[in-house]
Amino acid sequence: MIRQWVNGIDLRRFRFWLQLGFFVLFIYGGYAAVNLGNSLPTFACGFVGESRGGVCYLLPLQHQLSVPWQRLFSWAILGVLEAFVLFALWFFVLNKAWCGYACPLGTLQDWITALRTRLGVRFSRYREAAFRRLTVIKYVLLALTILMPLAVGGGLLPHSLGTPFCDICPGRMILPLFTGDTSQLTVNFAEKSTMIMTALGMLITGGFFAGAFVKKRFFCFFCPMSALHYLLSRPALLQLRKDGDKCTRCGDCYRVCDMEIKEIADEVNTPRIMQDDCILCLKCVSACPEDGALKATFAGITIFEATEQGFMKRMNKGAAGD
Amino acid sequence: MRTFRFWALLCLATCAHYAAAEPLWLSDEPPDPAMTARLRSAHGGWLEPGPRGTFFKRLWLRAGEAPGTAGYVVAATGGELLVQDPAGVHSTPSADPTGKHSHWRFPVAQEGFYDVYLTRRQVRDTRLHVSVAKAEVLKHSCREGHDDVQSKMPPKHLADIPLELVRERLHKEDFHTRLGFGDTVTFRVLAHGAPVAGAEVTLTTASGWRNTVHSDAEGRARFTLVRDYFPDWADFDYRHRQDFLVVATRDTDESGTLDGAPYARTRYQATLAGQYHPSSRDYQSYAYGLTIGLFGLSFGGLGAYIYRRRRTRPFREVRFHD
Amino acid sequence: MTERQPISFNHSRQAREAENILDHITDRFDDNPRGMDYFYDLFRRVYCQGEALPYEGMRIGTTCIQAPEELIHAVGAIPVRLCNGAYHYDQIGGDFMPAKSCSLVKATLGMLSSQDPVPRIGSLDLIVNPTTCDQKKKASAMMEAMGHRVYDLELPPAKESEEARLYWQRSVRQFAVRLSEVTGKRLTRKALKAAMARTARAQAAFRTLHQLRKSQPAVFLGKDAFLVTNAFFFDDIERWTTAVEALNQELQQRQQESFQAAQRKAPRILFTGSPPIFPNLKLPLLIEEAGGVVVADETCSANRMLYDLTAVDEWRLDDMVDALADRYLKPCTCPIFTRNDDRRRRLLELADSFAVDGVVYQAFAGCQVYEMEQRSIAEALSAQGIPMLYVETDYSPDDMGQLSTRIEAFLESIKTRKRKRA
Repeated sequence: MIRQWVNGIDLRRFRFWLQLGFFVLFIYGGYAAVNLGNSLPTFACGFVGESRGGVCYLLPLQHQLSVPWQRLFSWAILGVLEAFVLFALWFFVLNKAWCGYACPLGTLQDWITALRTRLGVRFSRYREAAFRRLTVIKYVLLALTILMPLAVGGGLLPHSLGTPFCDICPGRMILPLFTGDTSQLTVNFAEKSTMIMTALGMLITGGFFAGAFVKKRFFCFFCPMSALHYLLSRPALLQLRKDGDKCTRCGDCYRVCDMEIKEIADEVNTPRIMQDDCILCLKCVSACPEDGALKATFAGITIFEATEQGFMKRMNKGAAGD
Repeated sequence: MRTFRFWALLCLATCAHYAAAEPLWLSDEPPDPAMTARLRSAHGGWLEPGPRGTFFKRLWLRAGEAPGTAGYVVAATGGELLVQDPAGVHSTPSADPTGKHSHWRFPVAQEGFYDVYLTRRQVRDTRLHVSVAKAEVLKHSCREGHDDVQSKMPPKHLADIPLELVRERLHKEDFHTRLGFGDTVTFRVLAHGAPVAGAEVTLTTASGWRNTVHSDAEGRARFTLVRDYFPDWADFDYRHRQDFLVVATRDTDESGTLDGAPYARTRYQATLAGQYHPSSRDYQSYAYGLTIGLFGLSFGGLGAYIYRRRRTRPFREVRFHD
Repeated sequence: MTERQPISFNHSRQAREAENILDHITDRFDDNPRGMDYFYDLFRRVYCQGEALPYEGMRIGTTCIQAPEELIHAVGAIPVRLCNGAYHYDQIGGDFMPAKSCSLVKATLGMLSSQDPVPRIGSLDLIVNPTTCDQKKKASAMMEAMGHRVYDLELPPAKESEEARLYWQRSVRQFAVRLSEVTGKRLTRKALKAAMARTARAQAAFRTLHQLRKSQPAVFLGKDAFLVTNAFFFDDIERWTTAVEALNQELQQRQQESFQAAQRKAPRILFTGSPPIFPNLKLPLLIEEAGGVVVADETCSANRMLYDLTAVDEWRLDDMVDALADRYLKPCTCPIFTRNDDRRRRLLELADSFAVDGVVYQAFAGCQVYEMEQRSIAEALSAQGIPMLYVETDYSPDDMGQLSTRIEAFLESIKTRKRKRA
């Protein structure tokens, strides 16, 4: 009975409220003395001032890696490992649902998408060839996010390039705005490198709004955090599973997928269906009409499963609107 | 022989000079580069790493009003420091015998502000000169976390100090705050903990620019830190540190004898040095930032728009080139 | 068109053909569900008595399941599936097509070329002809020559590739525009939403019926199931849905009462291949008269037509039309596509979830694509230990005796196997 209720849940609304909750937690949680630490596997931006409820792991990671090599390869490595373990533990709980449910920047993109649909503007999709090319970018960014601070520590790059990803991450510019802090919307002429990075950051921020308006979850596609997640996703507790035998390949899941992951519809041989671009929003599960073809499991226990009934309930809700 | 005479003369001259009018103050800027190499730049100034993650602070006694040119007092004029740690516990380290300049070295183990006092009394021309050189030493390491910063922020003073300068905190100041060009800083002049009205307070910047005001009824004196750093942009260093020195003097009619020397008047002189940096306003530009952001937004938006318009021409993706 | 009322329609050949099958369906079986009366009655009125269908608004004929009916409904027209199952029309249609071609195409052409054909759908404002198999493609020009207005809805020959998908989405978009031109009504979000909701309700009813057939022992027979889905070809969608919902309720009741529509040990048959279309229900009827029960099917006159549901992410025309396009292409297991993996997997899944004992594969003589896929399907099934009977037939009743022998033998072999296994 409970299971039936869960599987028939209005995922859209559930997600909206949960995302809002996480957004408030990460941006304003500090006001309520919430502090989830500095190793969160999601863009809880550290540039949000004292009101933040936690800090995105990429900020301390880059900080830690940019210390001089002498220190990094002695006791400082312990700090790096400790933070990484903490990050991994957080991550293992929700897997990539950190992206689909918790990430404030992701939530913001969903709000922009909601605005676009209100305005009646259609969304864009990548062509498959473009998708295959662009999907590599996040790994390149992840490599740079790790290698550039290391190069700083080795004296190969100026100190101001110690947090290269934060410099260009639109979260740094946008999320502090929610606390009235506009100080990140600047170009920093202090050094050549900061000038280039902050200008690039602002350019990307502008592009972020333009992109997110026409493309669902525009930025997630390039997110190095998403790449890092994927590398660790195997042992995570929350998992997305597919029973290929039950799949009719109707493509409903692919249709609703914000990340345009074709494998979710076409792949029928691998139960571990989660791809690197996946944000584990579970929209695919909610849009699957075949009983048990797609499911979300937590520690092996099915928590949300595609059902014919659930599908009809949700789709009829959409169709009955207006 | 000649050089010796020159140095002897210079030394005599300086000693005599400071004895006459030059204010004494405490600075953490080392006099020689060899020492600088042993120190590490941290939040709040230089720190000397000790064994097993401990840290020490070194302070030098200097004489002269302009922090940029003030000389270092020779070792002969040492004495006991009074150090109050962030928890309020007092200690009295003696002068460090090494080196040729008068300086002190003491451990800084706790997070927060240490208040350091060096008090000297001397009778000259039937006037008692009481000089209180104060330093406010911040010890902060980001690894200790930032959970309990605000409780450690309020400035402290001691009731048994005859004249003392206390820097009031800026709005929302924390351990990471750096004073910058254009900031208005407020100092309170306190005598035995009670505010002193009408005291003469002078702030001198590195290059010798100075401003003198009188403290108001609550003992407050306000200064705006002026820009005192005009390099070419190519040489500009946004971390450029410069010191300012604040001197407060108060004359009273107190009379008595000190070590057998009678005096009819008393002059109290309190000093407090600080450091400030180029303001972010000097090198961060909203205009450029927002222009580039808007460019990114409009360029991205226009690009997407045009692309979507053009995409109505179907099946043109294969092109042939001769 | 001049009304040339036959003197006594119910004595005509096609009426007798229909009546004969209907009598088989109703009289040779006990305890037909009361909910089926609506459908028996409907077929009697339409096929035996030649009653005209009370359509209001424009009528748009479709020759395959790939024409999105929601779009037709949304512009205020009524979709009518033209695929015909009458031997009578098959013979007439023989004039248009080579001798060795598909009965279904021939019968459809025969019906369209006849004056006042049955079912009495009246004059068509447009015929949508998805470019599926060769025979249907070529039929398009013939239908035009008969005086019909035909729209070729271009279907790609493959469905996996992105190009195929976009090509088809474009076809469907253009079809929507064409529909608006024909009907003079603009396609609106509201109307399409309403149309999709109506189809979704019909599909939900169908799916419930489909799931009920999983029950063991069977509560419902395949011959009735085909009749129900055949009615969807021409019946008013809301009336049809209401009737199916009522039928479902009755079947649920029967399920609770452990009612048995067939013998407890009756071999459970999965029907696949060329579609049984009334009155050509001879093969399912033969199976069930011989003691088997058709518990599921994979044919375009039933399951493939109604099973797959449309998912929309953003309820805007742009996304809705594309979503419809996807729903009519992606899950389609029609053998005309280059690959048949999905059909094979679908059959295996149905065989598994409906506890099927054997598969009957019908291929209309001349339907090359079904004939060609037969081998790969048989191999896939036999790898899973599921026996398959391949039947090549057409609309003529001549092979009834021979078929009945083969089917009885097939069912007997299944029973033997089951007994051995038990």
